[in-house]
Amino acid sequence: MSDSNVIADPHRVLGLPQNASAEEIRVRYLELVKEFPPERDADRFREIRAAYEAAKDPLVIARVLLRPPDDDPPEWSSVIQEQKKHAPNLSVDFLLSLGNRDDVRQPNTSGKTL
Amino acid sequence: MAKNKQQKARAQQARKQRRNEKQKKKQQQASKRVSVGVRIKERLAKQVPEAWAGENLSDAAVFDEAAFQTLEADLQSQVTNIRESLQLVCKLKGSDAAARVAGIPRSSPLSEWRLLVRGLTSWLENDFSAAKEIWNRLDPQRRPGRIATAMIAAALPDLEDLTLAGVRSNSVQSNSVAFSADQATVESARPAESALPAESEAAAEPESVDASLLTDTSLLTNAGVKNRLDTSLLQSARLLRRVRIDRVAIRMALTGATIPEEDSDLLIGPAKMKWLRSFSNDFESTEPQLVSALHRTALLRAFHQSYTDLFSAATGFFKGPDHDRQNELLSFFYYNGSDERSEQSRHFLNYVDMYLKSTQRISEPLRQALISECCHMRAAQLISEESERPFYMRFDEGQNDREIERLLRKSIAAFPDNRKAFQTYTEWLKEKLDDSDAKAAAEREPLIENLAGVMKKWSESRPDDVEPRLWLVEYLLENGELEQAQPFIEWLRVARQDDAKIRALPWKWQLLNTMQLCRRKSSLEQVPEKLQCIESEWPAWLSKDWLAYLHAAFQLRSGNTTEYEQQRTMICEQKKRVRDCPRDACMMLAAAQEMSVSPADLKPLRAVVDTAVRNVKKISTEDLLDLGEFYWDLHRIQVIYPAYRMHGSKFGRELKSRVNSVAKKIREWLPRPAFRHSLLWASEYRFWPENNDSAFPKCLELPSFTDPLIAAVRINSIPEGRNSKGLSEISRPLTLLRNALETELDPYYRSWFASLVEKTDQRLAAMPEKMFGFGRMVAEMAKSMGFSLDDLDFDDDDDDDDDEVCNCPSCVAERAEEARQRLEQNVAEDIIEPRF
Repeated sequence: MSDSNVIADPHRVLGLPQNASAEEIRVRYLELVKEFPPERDADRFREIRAAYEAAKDPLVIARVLLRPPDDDPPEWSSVIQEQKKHAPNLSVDFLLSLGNRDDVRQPNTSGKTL
Repeated sequence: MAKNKQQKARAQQARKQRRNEKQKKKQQQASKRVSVGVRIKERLAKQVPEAWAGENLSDAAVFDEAAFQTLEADLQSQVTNIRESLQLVCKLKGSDAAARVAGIPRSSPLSEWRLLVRGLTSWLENDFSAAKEIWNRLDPQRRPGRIATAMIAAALPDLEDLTLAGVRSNSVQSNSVAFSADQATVESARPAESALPAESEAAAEPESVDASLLTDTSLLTNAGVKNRLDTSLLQSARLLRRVRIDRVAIRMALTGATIPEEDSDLLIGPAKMKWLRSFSNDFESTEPQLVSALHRTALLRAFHQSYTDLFSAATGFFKGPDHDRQNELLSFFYYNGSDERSEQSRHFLNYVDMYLKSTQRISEPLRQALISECCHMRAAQLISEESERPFYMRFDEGQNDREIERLLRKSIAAFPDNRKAFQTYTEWLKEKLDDSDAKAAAEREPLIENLAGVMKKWSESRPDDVEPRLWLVEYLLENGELEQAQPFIEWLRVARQDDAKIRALPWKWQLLNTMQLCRRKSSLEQVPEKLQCIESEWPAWLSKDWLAYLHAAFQLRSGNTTEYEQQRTMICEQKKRVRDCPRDACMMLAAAQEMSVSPADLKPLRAVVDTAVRNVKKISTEDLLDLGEFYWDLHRIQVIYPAYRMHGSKFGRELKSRVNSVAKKIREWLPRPAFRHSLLWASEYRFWPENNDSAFPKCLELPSFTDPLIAAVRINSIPEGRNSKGLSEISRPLTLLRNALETELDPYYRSWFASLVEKTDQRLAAMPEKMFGFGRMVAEMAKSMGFSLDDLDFDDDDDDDDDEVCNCPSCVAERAEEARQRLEQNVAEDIIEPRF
């Protein structure tokens, strides 16, 4: 991810929602730095650091977000290819339902097993 | 001939029909694929965890509230941790998730969930082998083990070929949802090769199941995984594979993106929009990022085409990013630069006053920063538009000013840390003040008070910024508010010791304080000591000439006329100056007024100066230059005596005419300090221009001058304001001045040059590309009549896209930077090879 992209969407780099608080940003940054120290992955560390610096200053993000769109319209195929990198959502309900069996019955609350 | 024509028309008709049919077929195919999306969506909606008969109660408690209530408190707490951990792991926060379940003891009936979470983290990072290693220890009959089995099976290369007959059935009964129809359709959308990494053992897998392998239920072998599968697990694994591994959504998006547009010049048409709406509906829950990216793409493609109706439809159908969910900002940019100003304003107001005011999708600081920057951006745009309008078209200046002020105030209130907003605000007010040079004090005072208010707010909001404090000190000292100025002076002294003028501020404060003491007779006794103190701290870069006059004025103020006369005589002897020459008279009057000499004693001093003004033409050039030198010193320390306003410009204008008269001998005059200092004084007033014309002496524009002081005179003569004409002509002096920053020995000039360079750089960065003079007037008039200069077609070669020039602050700044680089390049060439 280029530096300008990092600054444009630092929250994504940090894995945080757009409405994350300053404290959440700081905690997440410390976690990521622990996970990706510079000696292990210098590029990733630089990216995390840039994202943290940008996310800390709302004005920097605001100025990036308020830029008018680029001169060229994006191409569908390149946008879709880029999206391949991002995993789809996995809901907890879907995850737990993977273990379902066909013999469904309401749980028996009287004993240790149903 | 007619027959040929008919044949041609028929052939054309047939071709068109074939094309339409082809297009229709493609669209039908696309909509058929969307139906796969619908089925997947429906299938996912049915995927809810359900306990089976005899399921471990603590396992069921993870998703079943009734089961949860039956657990003991410590188990309930562990289940809560598991629930939170699963939420975190699904958001790809593996380390947080693992920490949440780390406290579950090995002896707990819930310890299997801890292993599940650990393996999930690896699986979600596509590290299937690590996941297998961790999950292999799970009980295959319990829910965590079954989840693990389904997830590992989802990654089997031959999953789609497996049938229920081929796997060992553990199911008690088969009430499975008919999946085969879905499967057939989904498979048709899949590419031939699997997206999964092929495992070597898969290739060696026997066609029929070996009996010896049936006992193998290890997750580490494909056979073991298959042996664990039952109907339900197989279906779950297939669904997981479609959604998560094969990414049906991605394939469908790629197909949908090939839907042909209705017209060749369309970037997005109604058919593509219809497809995308349907696609979004099906995949919004599983692929929110993909859907959001496609929406953004659709919006931007609609933005880049000139069909307002299609753009409007796109902004209605598709959601924008979190900071502009309703696409009001995008719409503002869409109409920016067009003639539809009402639409532009409407979208801006909708964005700032409605969307940003209430949205919770972004953090509070970002929301405020966006409001601040939006208002700042709009205000800067209005200021730029206003300055580009010729004077004869400024009918609604007052209304625009109110709007600009409202926006800038709002910007600062929303985000007080916005330095650029303060800079724009104060520069704009300074420009207004500069424009109102000739206006009455009644018009200037509210502007100055407003400026002081903004500077004060700036200094409070940004405690580290020097600029507002510097301005406030000058303002407060000029208004005699010494007490209020003192903390700012102290702060500046500590903060900026490299600036000679700032370093001299404590001295200036002492000077003004001494002058204030002279107002009361009871305080006069303190003055001699204060004058001594002033003398000891007198800045090295400033002539001490005036100090003797301050002493003389003090004697006059104290009523010691004899001592006063002795002092005047001594000054004239020491300085070899004729008494009551213009410099002597003005220095005395200045000192006397500042030291509160009585009106009766001032009268003769005024009379001498007034006589000099009346006979200004008779004053020798040397005397005028001497006077100019003194006035430059007063301007450097910003201590201007009241009577100066009555006669300063009269001497100045005469000096200007003398400079022009010595044009031919300019090289002889330039080395003389008094001449150079007088020029600097004149530059403070831009050489007193008449009728907005440049008054800068032509003789000082020779490119062969390499004196940085003359370069400073040139730059200092440019009027305030970002759109000044002179800015386009300063490339050479600016470079000279920049070079002199390293070599200048005088500390005052070194600091002053640096601040001039910095200020000019900022102004250059804000300078729009524009025309001046007649060309501009013609262009403005043409614009006001509804057509552009390009329409007039003066020059066939000049048909570029000037009418598309964007005037948003960032584009303006970018163009200014390019302009600055061009100027610098010209200068560099000029210095290497001077043009005479």
